[in-house]
Amino acid sequence: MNDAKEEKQLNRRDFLEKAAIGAVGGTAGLFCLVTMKSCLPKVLNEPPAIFKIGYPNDFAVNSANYIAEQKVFILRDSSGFRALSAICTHLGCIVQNTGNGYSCPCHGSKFNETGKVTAGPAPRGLDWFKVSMAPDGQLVVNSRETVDEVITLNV
Amino acid sequence: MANYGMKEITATLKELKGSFLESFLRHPWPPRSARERSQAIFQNFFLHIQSARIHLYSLKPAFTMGLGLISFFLFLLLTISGIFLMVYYNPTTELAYINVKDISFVVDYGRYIRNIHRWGAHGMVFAVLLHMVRVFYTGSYKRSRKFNWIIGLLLLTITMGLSYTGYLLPWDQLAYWAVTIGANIAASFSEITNALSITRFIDIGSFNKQLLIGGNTIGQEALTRFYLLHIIILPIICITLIGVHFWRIRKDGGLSRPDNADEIIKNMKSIADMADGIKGKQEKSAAADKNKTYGLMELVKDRTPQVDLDLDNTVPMWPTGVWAEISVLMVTLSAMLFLSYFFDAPLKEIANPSVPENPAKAPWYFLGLQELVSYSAFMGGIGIPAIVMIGLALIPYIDKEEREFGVWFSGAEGRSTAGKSVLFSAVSLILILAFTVKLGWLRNWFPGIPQIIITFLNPGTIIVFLFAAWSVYIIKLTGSRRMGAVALFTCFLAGFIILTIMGTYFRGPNWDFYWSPSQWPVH
Repeated sequence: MNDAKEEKQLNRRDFLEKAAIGAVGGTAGLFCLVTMKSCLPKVLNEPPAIFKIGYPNDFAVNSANYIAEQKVFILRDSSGFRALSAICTHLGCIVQNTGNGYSCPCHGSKFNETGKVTAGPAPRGLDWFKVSMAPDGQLVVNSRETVDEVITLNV
Repeated sequence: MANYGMKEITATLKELKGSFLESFLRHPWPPRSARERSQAIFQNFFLHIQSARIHLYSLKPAFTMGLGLISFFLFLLLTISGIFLMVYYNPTTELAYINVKDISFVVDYGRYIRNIHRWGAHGMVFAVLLHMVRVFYTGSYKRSRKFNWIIGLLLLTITMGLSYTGYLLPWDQLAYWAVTIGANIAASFSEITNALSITRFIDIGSFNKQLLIGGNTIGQEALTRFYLLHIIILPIICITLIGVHFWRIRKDGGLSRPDNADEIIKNMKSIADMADGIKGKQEKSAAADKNKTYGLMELVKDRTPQVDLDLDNTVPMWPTGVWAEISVLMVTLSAMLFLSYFFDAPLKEIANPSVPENPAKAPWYFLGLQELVSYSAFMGGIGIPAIVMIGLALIPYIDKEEREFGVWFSGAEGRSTAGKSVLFSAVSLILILAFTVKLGWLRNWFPGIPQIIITFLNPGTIIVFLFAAWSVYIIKLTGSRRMGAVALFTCFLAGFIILTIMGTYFRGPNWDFYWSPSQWPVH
């Protein structure tokens, strides 16, 4: 019994070997981690995710306008404003308004008027963004916050 | 005294040519004896990665078709033409497109150099793929070469990566949208994490994408990163792996050849003639060398005093093998110069982030993948390629049969297996594609179906399953794992070709099916 216990004990040579391997492995691992972390962008040099699109009167009732810079459709009907993302949920191409829905030129995903997928590879429907009104009376779209398609901003 | 000194110096200067050449080459020039010819290889920094002698079988053009060498020479050509392009190119969104225009229309020979770079890149992908096909069908991944097969797969991936990163640099419409698609494929892990509702906790998709393009959309950050990957990171990895790849071939005894290569050589008239030619020439040059003695050789038992042609059917690498390599280089160069003279590399209008190309097509070698991602982004772009790569990497470790090493298709049985597999692959894949084009897929029939079902059950995954099942059936039928590997590889190869043709010729705007581009709607 005593012998088995002694064998289990780490002798100095084994300990130093394990410590050395640990030190080298740890250094390499930390290096990879730090490299990766430093390559992840902290600041995105991109158009803001929350943006003003103009005054309500700029948009006619029952119209669909495409805002190119932000890649978003602004829809206005009698009940108010809604904002629909134009970025296909499949692989990021820009969908086109076909009159009774939206279609993606890259891999053929098709969406109906409410943004739901009707055909093609898109894994989910187009995003609806929250629309609100800024104190200066302009409409604000928040592309960080997705909402249900029936939620409209009444003006 | 002064006279004496001048004489000395003149005499030394007269010898300069010889003494400089010898100091430069580290061996006598021209090399005459077998020993000197070996020195020509192993005293030369650039040649010494090769063995001093080469087996006659390896000089048979129909065995390797020089594909590995062609890939390597194209890599060199791409490095050199790439450095030329870097003289005028600036990786900024303001300048990139203008610089490429300048290179094409203003810079002397610029268009030619850009064409060489473009066709060289296409050629390298093509040559690397064909090289893999050759290595597979000749069974050259067996024995000690198992791991070199995996290094080859890594090199294939790096080659694809180099092509993909280079694709963005001209900053035209095609570049912008093809790379947008590619970056979103990297992000398509979200398809799985969304389906499992765990994206909030581990967002692998966004992590990959942000690491790759430094943001959420392609812009300056992406251009800088792709430029870095393209000109320094991937080339360094590629050069290192090429070195290891070559070194291992050397350690494995040169190119693979059948175990009975010596007998085959004896019965091949063309090779025998070539060997006689080499022998005759070398005897002549050795005879011219008056200091050469044959005394020792005559003492060796069971060996006729042949010069430079031993019973092991090898010849000195210098000059025969080296000239064979140089001729492959010359053929490769001529093909590239010819292509670049007659065909211009395309350049679309400047990148426009708000309107995609329609259709937005990747280069030909990614169109098979693009067809697959049109069923499911994650499965087509990551899942299936990963399965194929892992499957290919496992082949040498599963198929350990000691049969017909270094023989095309491992003989008649393999040829018929490959033939049957091409047929099986073509019929099943074309049927599935026709079915999908005509009738659509699950989403068209059940609009509310959860995405996770489509991710795992789509034409791409079904075809992979059918190919695997076919391979297992062949193993059962023939009792040979090598035949199973031949079946699987052939199916994937034929599938790759068919999907590529589908994506190239039969997909038009909105990725709809068209019999020919002439039927595409005008808009």
